[in-house]
Amino acid sequence: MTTTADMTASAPKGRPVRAKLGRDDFVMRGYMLMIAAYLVIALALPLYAMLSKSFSTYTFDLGAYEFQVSDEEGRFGAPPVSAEALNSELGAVAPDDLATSADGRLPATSFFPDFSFRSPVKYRIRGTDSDAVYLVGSERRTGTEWTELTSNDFRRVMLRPAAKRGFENYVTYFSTPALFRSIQNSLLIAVISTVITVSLAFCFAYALNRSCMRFKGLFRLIAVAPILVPSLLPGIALVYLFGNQGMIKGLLMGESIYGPIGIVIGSVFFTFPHAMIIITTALAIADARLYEAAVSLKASRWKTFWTVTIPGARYGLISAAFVVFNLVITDFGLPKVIGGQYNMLAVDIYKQVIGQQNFEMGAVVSVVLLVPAVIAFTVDRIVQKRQVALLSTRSVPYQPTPNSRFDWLCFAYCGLVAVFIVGLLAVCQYAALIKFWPYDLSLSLKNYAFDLMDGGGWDSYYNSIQMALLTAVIGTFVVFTGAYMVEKTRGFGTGRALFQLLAMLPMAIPGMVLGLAYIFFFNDPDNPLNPVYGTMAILVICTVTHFYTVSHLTAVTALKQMDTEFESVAASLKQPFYKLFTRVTVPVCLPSVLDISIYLFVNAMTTVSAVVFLYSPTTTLASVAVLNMDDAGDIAPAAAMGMMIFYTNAGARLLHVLISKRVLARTQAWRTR
Amino acid sequence: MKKFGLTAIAIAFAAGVAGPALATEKLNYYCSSQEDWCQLMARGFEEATGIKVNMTRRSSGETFALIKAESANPKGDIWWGGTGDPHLQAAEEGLTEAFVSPMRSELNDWAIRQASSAGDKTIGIYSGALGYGYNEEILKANNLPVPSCWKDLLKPEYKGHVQMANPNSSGTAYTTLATIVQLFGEDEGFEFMKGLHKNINQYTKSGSAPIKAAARGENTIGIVFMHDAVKQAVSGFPIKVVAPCEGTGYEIGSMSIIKGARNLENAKKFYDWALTAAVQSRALEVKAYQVPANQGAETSPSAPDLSSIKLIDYDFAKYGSSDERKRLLKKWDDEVSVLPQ
Repeated sequence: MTTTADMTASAPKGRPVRAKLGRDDFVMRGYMLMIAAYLVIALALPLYAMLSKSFSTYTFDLGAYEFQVSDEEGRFGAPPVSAEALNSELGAVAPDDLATSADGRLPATSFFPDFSFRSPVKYRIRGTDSDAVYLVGSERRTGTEWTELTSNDFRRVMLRPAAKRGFENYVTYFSTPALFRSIQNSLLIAVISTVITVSLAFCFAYALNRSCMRFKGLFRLIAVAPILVPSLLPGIALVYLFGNQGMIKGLLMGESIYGPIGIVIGSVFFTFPHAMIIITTALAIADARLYEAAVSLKASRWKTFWTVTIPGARYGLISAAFVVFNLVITDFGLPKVIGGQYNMLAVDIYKQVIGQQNFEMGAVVSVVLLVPAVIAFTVDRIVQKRQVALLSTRSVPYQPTPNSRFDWLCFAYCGLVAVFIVGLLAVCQYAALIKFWPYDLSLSLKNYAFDLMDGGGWDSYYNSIQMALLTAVIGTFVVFTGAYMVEKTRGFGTGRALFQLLAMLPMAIPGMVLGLAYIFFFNDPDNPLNPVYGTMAILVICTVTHFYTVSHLTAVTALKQMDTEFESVAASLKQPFYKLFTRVTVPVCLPSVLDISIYLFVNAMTTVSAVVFLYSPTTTLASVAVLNMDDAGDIAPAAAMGMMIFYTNAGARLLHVLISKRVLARTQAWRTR
Repeated sequence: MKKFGLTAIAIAFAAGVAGPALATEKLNYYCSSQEDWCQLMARGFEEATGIKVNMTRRSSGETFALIKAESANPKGDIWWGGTGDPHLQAAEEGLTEAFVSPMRSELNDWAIRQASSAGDKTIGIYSGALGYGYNEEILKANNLPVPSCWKDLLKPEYKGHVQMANPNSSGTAYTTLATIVQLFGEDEGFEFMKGLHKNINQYTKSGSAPIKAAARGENTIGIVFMHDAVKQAVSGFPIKVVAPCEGTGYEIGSMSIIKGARNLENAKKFYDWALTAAVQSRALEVKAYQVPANQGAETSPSAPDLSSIKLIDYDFAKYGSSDERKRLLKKWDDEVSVLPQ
């Protein structure tokens, strides 16, 4: 970043050229600001709205209302009394009950114990300041003017709470034992799952990189398969395997799969590919010279492993651990499906918001969930930076040598893992195709009659495909052009650093939190962007934002490989930047562009956490349908829909490989000299 | 999409006649019953009248929230199905339209009582009693006694074998809570819920999920509306249906016309049509074993006979009111759901 800035600073003779370029620079900066504005609107502002919601408390401010009661003839002689005075006299509402939620309503008649709606007595009500709000029926009124009502109308008067800022919600949260226990549960499950996943993934990656076993390509392919399905699908498979009617229930020896055991097994399944990919990358960059040194120093294989292999991969291991930890603690689909009564943070958000419409508490849980997520994210970023620094130009790539006993051991281990992964998917497919486990095992397609179930039917599947395609196309465009501007814009250091920061932020935000923040921000009637709420557009915006960081990093990595000389050459040929961009940059970076689009497509198909708060009856999604059908007890159709997502994603991956090959042949020929 | 829409409008205008015809001949139908029944009603009405039906299916609580949110600019015309409480609440808040259908003479008393308690703004369309169902095979496999009363469910041997929905999200479960409170009184009722809590293996979000889980054998006893349990039994699962010996509560599934409906005439047509014996008899096609409001409608022999069940005098006005509902739910949240199991 600084190098380009220095270059411009120390090149005063470039001025005449820069005059021509000035417009380009201006356009590029403008464009970069536009993308930055997008990130602010789609990320920073919603998060701010959520944060402020978590501090909003609602209480009935009794001092803000005054009443006046007439005599039987309807004449008002008595002096006005405040609700507060009446309450201190009567004790009608306990001080604790004055705290309420955003839609709290307190009947005005509570302060008049001998109230009768048939009486000829008339009532007046007014606010002592202009902020006091009350309802007459469903009509909202404010102001210090008297409102005169017959007793029949007065019974429909409701006081509305006043909003304040404070820590009350947090106090309530931390003093509710059930909610607080979720923190312990979430941390425990995340730590256990992380240890297991990272160990398993390390052995798998070790076998892939350091042995000469056969079928490595196939194993690699199987190991990434869980990325293609929603995280709740393994939960469904586990119900069929280990549920009360499970096929191999006996293996659990009487323990219930509903609860921590199920969540851990499922978490291992869906986080395995993430850990495997990161650790494989770490192991792939081993320096053969270290191993040669170890051999010449007569170190045992065991000792070499601990003094060379593990330290070499340590950053990868730490990074994998934090990524897995983050995925598990923020995942919501899996504990929802198989968690039973075992509460987790992410599920609590869902329960508070969808179940009890308690948005403030949902916001509080979100903030609590943000803490571990942000810590994990920060550590991961620091560690990943160091990993890059480990590479040196003098390194000699390590080549494994055949060793039949070790290779067979690796093969057996990878085979087991592959059986676990393929097995869970196969169980889901089997469950989807049989009539009714365990009573009627004949094959049938009735579970695919999605239109007869909750969750939106086949439309939700088509909606998902539409959403995924839009996300892939729009997202790739926004991310890649944004990354281009931030990489290739000259000068403007602060702006670019800020942009980088904004682009990294989405990765630290759990999906549930983002989704909830979107409700607060976009569903506000005062927000000019309010019409977006409930449309396909908000789903696309949310998904692009949710998966922005990884896409951005991929784009930046690809762009960094391109020398800035290209820009200089284009400038000296007086070519505008967009010509260079479309004719050179995009074709050269095409593999990365395709990678970004497939990444966005696959994730848009499987994501549940963010969009579960945002879909509307016309924009139901397949992944949410899996959740809703499972929730309504239609577990076999849920498995069927989950597998539809799997095949769609697998098909998209295949298409991606084929297109990549053809495109690469055309545009990347220069790479092979 | 947008372009297509514009083209469609252009064509409609060019045709001249299509525009006004499209505007009147449709019905926006909010449905809160089971999906297949909703669709049967929508398709049936389209076939009978040629009026295009746009259906939106959501639970009764969600639909109520939707209608309330849209009240300034109503998008729906008619709301069919779902427990009566939210319908009563909508009537109370003036979100629905009063209508007296000529079909009333054919209906059961309870259906009309529902209408008169809400100033004709809603009407009963079906009724069902609360109870529970159990999986015979699982019960036997675990050597558990056969339950027949509410209090049986508190036995310690049923620990981890009972499932019900969460009363916060499910109308069925709220009806359960209100029934227990009315049956045993509030204090003893809450003691019952606390005892039950010890035996519950999961509170689901959806009301009928517990009995579906019992049918699958993933659960043993599911507290649900009896017609939901009957549906599983008729489908061939080893489910037995229990009408608890102490007596039980019930729901009255209702229908309301939304205030400010843009297709009011069609909504009224649907209203009358939905109350006919022929239409109500079709519920059996989708295995909906509720008691139909129309006295002439066919019932299944496997459907629970309400006259043989001890029904409590369910106070719909009190337990359907939003204040009482909120109070009970808060109490349940604070005193029951937080207990260790």
